[in-house]
Amino acid sequence: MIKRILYFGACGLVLAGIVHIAIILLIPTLGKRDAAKQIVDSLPELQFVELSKNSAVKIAAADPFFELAVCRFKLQEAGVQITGNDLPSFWSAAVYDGKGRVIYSMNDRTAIGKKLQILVVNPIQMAALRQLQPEELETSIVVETPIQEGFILLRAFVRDPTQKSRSEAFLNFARCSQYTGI
Amino acid sequence: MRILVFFLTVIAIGLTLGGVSAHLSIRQSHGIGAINVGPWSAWPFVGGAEVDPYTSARSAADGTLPLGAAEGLSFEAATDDNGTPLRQNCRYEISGKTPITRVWTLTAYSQDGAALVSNIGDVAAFHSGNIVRFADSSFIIKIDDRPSSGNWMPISGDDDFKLILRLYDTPITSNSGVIDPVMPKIVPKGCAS
Repeated sequence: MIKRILYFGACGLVLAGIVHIAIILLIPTLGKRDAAKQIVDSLPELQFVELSKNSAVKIAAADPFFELAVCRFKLQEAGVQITGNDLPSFWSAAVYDGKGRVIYSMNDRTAIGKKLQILVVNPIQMAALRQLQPEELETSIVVETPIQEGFILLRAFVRDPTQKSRSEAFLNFARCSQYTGI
Repeated sequence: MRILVFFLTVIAIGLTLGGVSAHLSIRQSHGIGAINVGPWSAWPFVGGAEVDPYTSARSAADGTLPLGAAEGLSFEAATDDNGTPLRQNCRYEISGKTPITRVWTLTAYSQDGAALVSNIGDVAAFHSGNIVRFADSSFIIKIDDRPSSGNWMPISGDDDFKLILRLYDTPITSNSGVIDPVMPKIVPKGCAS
């Protein structure tokens, strides 16, 4: 009898291990709240969308002092060029893969000339860039990544409500386009 | 019959233990992959490509998007300094200093990640530029449902809540690793009955 109970318990523990691992690995794929999945599923490509004006994407625990804009991109055909102005207060940008992992991040102090200038390319496009040496290589931060698709998220700090329009203008001015230089 | 009992028992044990352990491993505040300072926990690798599956499951289940290392680091607290869960009907004093950073923000959220808003429509949040400090740059924030002098964060309700302190452009996420950051204390000051 004791043997049988031990046997039941052991089999149960093995199954518990499998269930545990399966749940942990499946949450990012099956979860409905996953912010990265909402962005990839519902936002248009190559266009910055301000998240406060878009109800399709809900990011939980968002910082109330920040305005966010997202541009979704694919890298199969061409690289992506992101350009924008400067904002006198803090802003930051992060390139995520389709699963919401950060590939690259920067803030206004690490930007070249304090301006938003990012070029996201895959390794093949990077090789072409190195050969052609276009002007953007000097003025942009070049992010080389093997990902197929992803998105870039801009965060602009809003110190107080009177500065909200300035932060919104910064996000409005940001452009996200296919890079045609190569 | 015996084989059916066997299968049902094994499945019951497996689903219960597997489910509970998975839930605990991502829901516990001092979970896997975290660095902990007092009641505060941060997941410095949540944004990286080499993120562990627990941390990525956690952010997916929460519906949050992690900050990149160059953007900042966010610390979460769901308990006070004594380890008691934070409750909206209790009063707290958050005091001390934050680690060196260019901008920080402190926001109170409900358990499901919505920013808490007071009756008069103010978001329960502060940032490094709108807070009153002492001469040595330390500060005290009072969490209370009744108006209070100084830095008052109005919170009222019955549920649990959590605090998130985000450090933007902070040197503690640099390659030298996260060195023992000094975080503010969360001291309970009694509860409304």
